[in-house]
Amino acid sequence: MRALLEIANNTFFLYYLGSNLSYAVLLIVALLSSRAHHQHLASLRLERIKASPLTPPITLIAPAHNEEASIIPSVRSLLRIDYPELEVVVVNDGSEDRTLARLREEFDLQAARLLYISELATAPVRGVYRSAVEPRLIVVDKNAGGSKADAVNAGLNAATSPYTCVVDSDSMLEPDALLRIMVKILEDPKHVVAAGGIVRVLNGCDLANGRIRRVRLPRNPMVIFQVIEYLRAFLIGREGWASGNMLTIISGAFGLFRRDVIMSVGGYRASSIGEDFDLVARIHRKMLDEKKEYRITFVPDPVCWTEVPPTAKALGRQRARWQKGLMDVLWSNRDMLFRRRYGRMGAIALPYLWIFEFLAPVLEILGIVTIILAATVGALSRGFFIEFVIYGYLFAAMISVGAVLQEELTYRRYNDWRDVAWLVLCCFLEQFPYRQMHLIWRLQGMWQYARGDVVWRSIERVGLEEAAPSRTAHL
Amino acid sequence: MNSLFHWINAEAASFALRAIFFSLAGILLLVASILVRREVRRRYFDRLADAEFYVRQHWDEIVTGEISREEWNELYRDTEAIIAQSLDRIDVAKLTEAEKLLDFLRRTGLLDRMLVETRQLRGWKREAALVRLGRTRAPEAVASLAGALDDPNPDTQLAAVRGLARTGMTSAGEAMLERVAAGDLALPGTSLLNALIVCTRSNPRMLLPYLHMARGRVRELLARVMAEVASVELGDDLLLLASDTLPEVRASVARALRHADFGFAFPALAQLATDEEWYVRLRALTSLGRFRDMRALPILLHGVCDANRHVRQRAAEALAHAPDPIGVLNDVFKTGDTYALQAMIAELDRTGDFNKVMEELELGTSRLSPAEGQYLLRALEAGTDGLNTMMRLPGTRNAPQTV
Repeated sequence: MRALLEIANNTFFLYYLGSNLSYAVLLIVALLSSRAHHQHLASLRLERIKASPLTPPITLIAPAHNEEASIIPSVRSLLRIDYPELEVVVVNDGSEDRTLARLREEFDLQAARLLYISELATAPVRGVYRSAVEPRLIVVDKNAGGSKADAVNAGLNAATSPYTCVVDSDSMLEPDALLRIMVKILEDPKHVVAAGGIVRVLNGCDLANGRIRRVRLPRNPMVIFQVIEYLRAFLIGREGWASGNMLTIISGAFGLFRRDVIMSVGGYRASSIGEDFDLVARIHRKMLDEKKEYRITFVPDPVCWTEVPPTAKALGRQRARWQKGLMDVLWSNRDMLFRRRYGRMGAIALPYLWIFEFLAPVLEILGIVTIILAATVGALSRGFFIEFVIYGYLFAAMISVGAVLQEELTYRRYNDWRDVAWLVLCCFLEQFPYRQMHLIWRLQGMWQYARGDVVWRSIERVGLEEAAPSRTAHL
Repeated sequence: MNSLFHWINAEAASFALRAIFFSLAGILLLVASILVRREVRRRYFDRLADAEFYVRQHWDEIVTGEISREEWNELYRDTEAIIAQSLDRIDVAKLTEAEKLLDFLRRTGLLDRMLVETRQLRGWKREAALVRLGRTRAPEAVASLAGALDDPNPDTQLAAVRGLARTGMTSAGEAMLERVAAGDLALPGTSLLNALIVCTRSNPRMLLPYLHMARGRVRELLARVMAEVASVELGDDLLLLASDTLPEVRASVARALRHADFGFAFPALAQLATDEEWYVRLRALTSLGRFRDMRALPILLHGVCDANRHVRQRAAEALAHAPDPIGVLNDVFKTGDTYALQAMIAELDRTGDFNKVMEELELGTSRLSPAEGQYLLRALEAGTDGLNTMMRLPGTRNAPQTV
């Protein structure tokens, strides 16, 4: 028993060391890379991109399923985006609420006899509408396809631009987000096939008329922990992986793709659970199969604000779904592992995801159990146990503080001293019990996936205008 | 394996202590960095704001040189604010006003300072200085910026290209073209293209010798520039380029011909409208559509039946503006191509004319014969399935879903 515990402890110790080392490397790479990007921006003026005749048109695709609470401010904010040639395609994915009715009332939608070719198969389209007051707005009304992917595919069929940007209809892009995300694409349009922007937490911000008046940190600790998670995931994780062209996910809330590339891989896979992750994996696969030079990049300054689940129940469901999506993609792309053809994707990025993301909930919970057991039965010295727990706690907090520093060095969306102080404080508070809850939610996701429970469960939204009622009330 | 675990056990305890120490030090360092960064930024921006406020208040005296030497010396420490404001004003100023501001920068030595900075600074600061120098639009900036094009660092080259683009001068264009043609300047992305477009727009003829000499990628690049800047002033040279081997060049000619007389442009555009490359056809049809001349109708009708949907759409866009949309619609109907008809319907719908067309057909007020009018009306009301039957289409292509 003792020997077994010792072996287990040592194995988990190595695992933990590997995990921390990779985080530390990502943090350093991300700090250097975003510093370089920030300095590069110093000699770049976005107006030049706007004025250039070579700036390509973009179609924004916003799938909406029962989004009546947030659809109007969200579409308004999309139409307000500062970009020379923009088309907004909202896909009403069989909403049972008043999503379409609200769009009709607000934008005076008229039935349009558009040429709609089902290049990508989707659930039947009931109608295509164009706004009489805003000619850039097209609404595709279709039967519910049971997934966001199906709705996005319908939007892709209707899109006419060479680049498409998929955004969640409950999210809000900053007005210059598209100009900023195009910076890296325009620098190398032949090779950059997709770019992801940063997704930030909208909860707590002051809103008015579909605009953010002031960026504020929410007061709900559950949401602040997610703010830190998002900073860590985007400013460290994605920035770091993208530096080595190993970005495996572009958030479904905000990503820009070359339309021909998405079409060439057959669009979004409607049966996938994590459709954004799945799409990026298939693009990598296709490009590597065809031995093409390509880049999938991350741009840290274009911001998409999104509402995150404010309650543990909703958050748990979201994280379980993310875990299922991860498993689904990793499993369907398992043949890419350690194959020469797939280069660093197969040798580094995917193995990392298998070991440190997919297996993390199982290994970490087992690690916690065995280390406690070993300390209890005396297989591990109590002193070392305490030291190890302290180290684990401090290292995890250090990575989170690193993400806050990264935000502070570069994009500084949180201007208020108190907000930054709160963020730093929460870097220490999130380690317990939030992280452990997180592991349990992910385990639940694994269990659901193993049982074949892959049903899409939507998350209730408060709505963009009502996301911060206490603050908007006095505006 | 056992020895490894032994080693881990032996080392782990001391490792954990060291790791605690380093993690703690790391946290303190990171938090300190946040605090220092905030404080430094606060002070810097406070000072900048003060300087900008003062400069704004005394702007006229500063520019006309009416302030005393002592005051100027005092103010000279805030040159960043003065330069920033001068450049912001130059960006939006008319020619005479810009000249005055440039003269001010020259007299005060600020332009010299900017020139020196482009040579002395390194890394991203130099890149920012190069772009800043370009914003002055000073003729003497071109030589410095052109010199930076020879830097081995692509980021510096890129900044120099951006700076040259900001000057918008033909001499800047020459400097870039020489290096592009010699193969010394090959930047990915659109910055170089944009810069060449801006700097050659006023004299597209300067591109011709380089275009004739260039091969491969360079020729492709120059062709894209030509596509944006070519004008009728190129005259017969333009017609010669219409049969160029490079599709980019042919596309540029198609685009340029939109500004020519119809009689001059038509034969070349008619030829380019049947080009093997879809984007050449697209450009040719777009240009033809701009003339709104009935003689282009057969070419446009052919274009609306194109295999490429973008080409169809552009042809339909041109046809929708024809003086007799119902006649055109009937001609499209007669082609027997549902794709073409649907492109046409979509375009009429987009321009808001579809209901008018339907109304005229219902009332029988169109120029079509009553029988033709009724048949077209029924076809338009029939929807996709009905259309396929009525137009007796071979079912070779996937039927588009029209809604």
